[in-house]
Amino acid sequence: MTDRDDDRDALAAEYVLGLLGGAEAADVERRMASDAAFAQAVAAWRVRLADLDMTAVPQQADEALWSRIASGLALPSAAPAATRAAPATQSGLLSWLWDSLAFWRGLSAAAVAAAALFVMLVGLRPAVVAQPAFVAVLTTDAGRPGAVMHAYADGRVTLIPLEMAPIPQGRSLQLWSISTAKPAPVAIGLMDQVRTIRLDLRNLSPDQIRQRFAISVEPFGGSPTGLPTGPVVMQGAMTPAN
Amino acid sequence: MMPVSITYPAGRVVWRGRTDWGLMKQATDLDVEEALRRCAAGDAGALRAIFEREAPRMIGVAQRIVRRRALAEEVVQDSFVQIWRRAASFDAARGAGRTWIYAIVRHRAISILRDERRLELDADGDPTATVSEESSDDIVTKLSDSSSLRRCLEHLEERARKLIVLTYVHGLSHTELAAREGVPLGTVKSWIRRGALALRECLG
Repeated sequence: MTDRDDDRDALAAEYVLGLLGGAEAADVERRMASDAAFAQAVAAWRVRLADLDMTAVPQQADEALWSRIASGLALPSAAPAATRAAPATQSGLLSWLWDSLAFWRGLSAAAVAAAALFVMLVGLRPAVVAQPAFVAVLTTDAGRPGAVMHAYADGRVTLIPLEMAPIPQGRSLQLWSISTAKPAPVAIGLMDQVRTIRLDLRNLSPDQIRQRFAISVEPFGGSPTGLPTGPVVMQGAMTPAN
Repeated sequence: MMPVSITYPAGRVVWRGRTDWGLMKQATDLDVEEALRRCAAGDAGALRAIFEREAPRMIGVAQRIVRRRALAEEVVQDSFVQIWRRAASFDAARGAGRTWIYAIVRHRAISILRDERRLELDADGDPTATVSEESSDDIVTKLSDSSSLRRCLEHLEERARKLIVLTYVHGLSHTELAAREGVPLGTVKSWIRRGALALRECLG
C-alpha cells in the first residue's frame, strides 16, 4: 500500500463512518462519481463494517409507515393491499385514514410537534400526573403479579416491575405485544436492566393496545429472529382503567 | 435459531401467544438482491417484501443515530423511496443487497443528524426515544462469534475500537469524540485513521 492508497482509504473510511460534514461529504460523493478506485474503496468500507448494522435492535415497523411509503411512491395499490395485515378488521373510517396520505403526513408532523411539546412540559413540570387509560397486570407462571403496565391516552405506556429477579447475565428481557390482528408477536421494548421504562405505543391502534403483553428472556440485545425465542416470564392483558 | 434453554424465574418454559414459524422462515429467507432486481422492474410486492424483512432493523439502525423514533421513521420512509427509485443502480459486484440498503439508511440518518439541525432537543429528555447509547464493548459483543469484523475490532487498540464503533453506530462527529475523550481534534482524527488502516489490514 502506498501513502496515496492509505490517504484514499482513510478518507473513504471517514465517509462511511459518517464523520464528514455536509460540504466534505458532498466533495467525497463527487469524487466517487469520477474516481472508480475511490468509489471501490468506499464500497469496500461499507462491506467491512456492515456487520455492525446487524447489531441494531429491530423496532416495530407498522402498517402506517408502509402506507406512507406506498402513498409517497404512488405504488399500485394492489400489491401492498394484498399483503396488508388486517384491513378487514378495521372500520371504514379507519381504513380510509390508513390509506390517506394527508392524514398520515399531518399526524407525523403533529407527532413531532407533540413530542417537542412533551419535552418542554416535562422540563417545566416534571411532576405532571395523568390517569392511565388502560392498565395491565403481568403475572408470572405462578400467578403472582410481576409488573404493572399503564397506557395513557397519548400513547405512552410505562412498565413498572413489581417482583422480578435480576436479568440473567448476558440476557435481555423483551416485551411483546400479542394481537389477534397480527400473525406473530411484535417486539415493542427491550430491558437490559430491571427498571421502569417508557415505551411509545402511539403507533399501535387502540385494538392492539387492548391486546396481551408478554415478557420473554432473550439473548442480550433482543431476539435475533424478531420473534420470542426464550421463556416467557410474565404476561397479561390491557383492560380499560375505568 | 434454537430456543434459549434456561428457566426463569423458576418455572417451566411457556409461551401462550401465537407464533408463526412459517412466516419467520419466509421472512428470513428473503433474497434481497433478487428483491432489488424486482424493484428495478417495478414490482411493488418486492419493495413490500423488503419492508417486512428489513424495516424493523432499519428503524433500529436509524434510531441509534437520530435517537428519536419519529425521525427514525422519517429516515426509513425516505430510504424506501431511494431504494425504489435507485434499485436499478444496485451493483451486486460492490456488495450485498442488504449492505446497499443499510448504506442508504445510514446516509440519510447522518445527513439529518449533521445538516438539518433538528436534534437540538436533548434526546435524553425525549419520551419517544427508546434507544439509549450503547457502549462500544456491548456492540462488539453483539457481533456474531464468527464475524471477522468482530475478531479484527477486538485486535484493535481499545481507544481506536471505541471511536470507530461509536462513530459508526451512533453517528458521533470528530468534534464530539474529541470533547468526550478530552483530546484535540487532530488526535482523534489520527487515532481513527490509524485504527481504520489497521482494520483494513486485518480484514483484507
